[in-house]
Amino acid sequence: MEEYSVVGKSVERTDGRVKVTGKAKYAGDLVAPGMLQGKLLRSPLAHAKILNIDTSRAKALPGVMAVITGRDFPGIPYGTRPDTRDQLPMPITKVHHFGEGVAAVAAVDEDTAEEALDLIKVDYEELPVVLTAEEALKPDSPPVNEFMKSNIPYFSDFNFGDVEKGFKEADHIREEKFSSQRVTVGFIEPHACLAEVDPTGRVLLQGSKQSPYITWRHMCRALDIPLFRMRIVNPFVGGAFSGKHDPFDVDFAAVKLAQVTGRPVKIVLNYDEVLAAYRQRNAMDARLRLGVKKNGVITALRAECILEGGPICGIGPFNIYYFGAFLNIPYKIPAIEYHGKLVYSNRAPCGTVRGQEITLAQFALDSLLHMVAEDLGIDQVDIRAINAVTDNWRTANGMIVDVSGLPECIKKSSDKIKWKESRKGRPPGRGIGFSCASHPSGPRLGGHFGSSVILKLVEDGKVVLTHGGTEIGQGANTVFCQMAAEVLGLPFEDIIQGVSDSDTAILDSGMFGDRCTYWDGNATIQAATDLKRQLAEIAAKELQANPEELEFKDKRIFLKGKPEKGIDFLLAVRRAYYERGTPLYGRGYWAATDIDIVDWKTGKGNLAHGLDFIATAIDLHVDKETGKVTLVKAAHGDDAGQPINPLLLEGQVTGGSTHLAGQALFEESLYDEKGVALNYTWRDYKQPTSMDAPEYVVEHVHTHDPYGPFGAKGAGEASSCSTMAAIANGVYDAVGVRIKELPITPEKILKALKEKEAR
Amino acid sequence: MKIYIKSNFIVPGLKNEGSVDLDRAQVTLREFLNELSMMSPTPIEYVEPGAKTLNPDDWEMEINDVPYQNFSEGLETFLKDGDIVTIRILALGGG
Repeated sequence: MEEYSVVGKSVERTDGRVKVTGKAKYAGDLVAPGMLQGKLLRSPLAHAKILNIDTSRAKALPGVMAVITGRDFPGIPYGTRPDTRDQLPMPITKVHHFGEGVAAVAAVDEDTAEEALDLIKVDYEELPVVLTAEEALKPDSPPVNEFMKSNIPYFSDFNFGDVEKGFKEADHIREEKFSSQRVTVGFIEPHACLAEVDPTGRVLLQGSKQSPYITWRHMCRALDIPLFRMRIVNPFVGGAFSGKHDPFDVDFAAVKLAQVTGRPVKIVLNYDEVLAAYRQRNAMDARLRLGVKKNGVITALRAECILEGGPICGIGPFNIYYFGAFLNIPYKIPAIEYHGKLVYSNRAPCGTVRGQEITLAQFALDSLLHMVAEDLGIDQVDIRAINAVTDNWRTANGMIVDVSGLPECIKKSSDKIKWKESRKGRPPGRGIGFSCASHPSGPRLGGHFGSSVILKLVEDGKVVLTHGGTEIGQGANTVFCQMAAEVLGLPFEDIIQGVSDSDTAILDSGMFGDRCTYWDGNATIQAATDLKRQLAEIAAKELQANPEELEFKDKRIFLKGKPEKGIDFLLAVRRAYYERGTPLYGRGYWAATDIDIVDWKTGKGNLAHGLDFIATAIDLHVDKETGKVTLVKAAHGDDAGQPINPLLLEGQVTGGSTHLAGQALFEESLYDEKGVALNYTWRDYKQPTSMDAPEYVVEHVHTHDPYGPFGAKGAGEASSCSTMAAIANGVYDAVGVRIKELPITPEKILKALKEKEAR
Repeated sequence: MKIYIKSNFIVPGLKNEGSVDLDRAQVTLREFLNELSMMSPTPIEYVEPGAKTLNPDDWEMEINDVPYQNFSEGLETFLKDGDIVTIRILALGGG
């Protein structure tokens, strides 16, 4: 195995100190001369026609500089795909969910803006609400979205392999229903932005955005301005977990108010607003039918899934696709039939949450696998090992697995959790649950999906790295700096992270799907190699050597195997700037251009290079008196290829697992019968804290991905995909009750225990 | 005339999957795409009103496997009976 100097080391993250000392500037901290404060008026109703909005009294209030509504925008819908454009910056004819922004105010201070909101009069005509998938599917269901006639805006039907034959060959078939609840995303920093318009009318937006490129493109479309008329700069982002991809009314309102007033406008939401009205995870209803041979080998799977996604499609079409596509992995399933539907409702709009809807697919599949294994008397570890995807595997839907560490992950997690020992005996109420999962290292879905990195080598020998991805807390900046340092033979500290600015960095498609380490990482290597080539040419002349024979290490450039015959790195830099007048820029670009892009019609395609794998084993305790579940220990065998920064990787694995433990056990966004959100404060909506986290063991299974940077794969989302089924299976192992409807609350456990006793 | 369609998504309103029968002797690519838009039960715009080209952020289009931009008449290129129009949808987003 190759020895690296910086890669593979748990170096301190580039932004750690400024964040923990409170010096990092987030969107809410930004200030601009003459800045106004913006606020949004929100709908108290979940579904209603907007008959009239009277803003005259608000406009007359001293200190109010502008008031806008949906009618101030061009009325151009935007959306993830041209066939699902169903969102406006702000509503014009009707509101679609509780808390939707219907008007916005810019004033000299927050108090005045708040006061102005009270003076806006909105006349509504209440409409019947659609709250569940069942209601949305009724033929007489009231249409939720004015751009679509039906409440089923998207569906996917896939058929891979011979399903009928698979079920005929099965010795055992089991069919079960599963469901999951609405959950919020749970980042720390609420949505916030600062919008400015320069004298030429060019917009500058600095916002808390996960994927500035997506925001930029959608906003330019909906504002009807060309891309060059908008610049987007990302300040520090306080977490996102897939909840900050899209532009929101916050962003649109800030820009429009800045355009109207000619002054900078900042809007910072409070968290109640975020919990009530912004992105959540789809609620799921699924039915899975699994066929298995006596020896545990899976022969076929049939699945149906309905995702209730609120009043917009958003990335719902991807969610529907992901659910079906990732039933093909991490287990070898030769034949799959899948039917997925996305439905509208009058609950908060959905995007997704960490792990996308693979989390839900895996909860259903691995819960069912546990049941089937028990039916057949097969050990829970064995059935996963029997079916685990291995190297050079092609899934039924066309995904290609080059390298799979899953068998080793399963072994490591079961060893660390002491599975075999636990079968001989365990304390009452204790159980162990297993689940596996796989996640792509950045999907390629068509269109602009490349990643780019620019390195500027400054004359003092330091390198400024700018990239088009986004640091949202996951540590992307740190691992890119590590990779650049490794290629250039520099200390990690000599690579400085630059600002993500659409004027200087070529934005890439964003931070999602575990893509940044893999895609931007490869682009970083390309950029560093480009820079290295330029320096090698300079050093080669000095050393009278062939540039290709030079090695970069410890801030020196020297002949391979002859460290004494070389020059200082800095000297080569000075030669470039002082003798040649040559600026030193390294440019790198990477995209998985050689994969077979997904066909949305058939569901076939190779979504991504670099599939990361995980096997999760969770030891837990169920209190039979209270129904409370306590997670005791979680052992993750994790294959993220070559760990670039093992400590950051471990943080991603444990973070993903803790995050989804909340969805497994207690999180739920609740609504009343009229669609009004009920628990939209942190007092009422509970997410896991460190007090809920078990002891974690993360065992890195070190593989080498042939396409990954230094052999790395993506990381951070696989553990979120494996955790929920592991908990559900653990609860069953502990007390013998199977909860198939998330969350697995104490009330559900106690009810199931009572029913079990009554039988 | 019959125009065959290859696509990477379900073309809304396309009842006879894979082809469209038109009641006319000739049609331009623009007219054909507008026909497709009209067949759709949901609003879908292949050609933006007044646009000389397709929005490259939304669609990739080919006539008989050749990008439509390679035809000198672009959107005004006449389609023949039996021609194959390939429509690929582009997505913007991710989870």
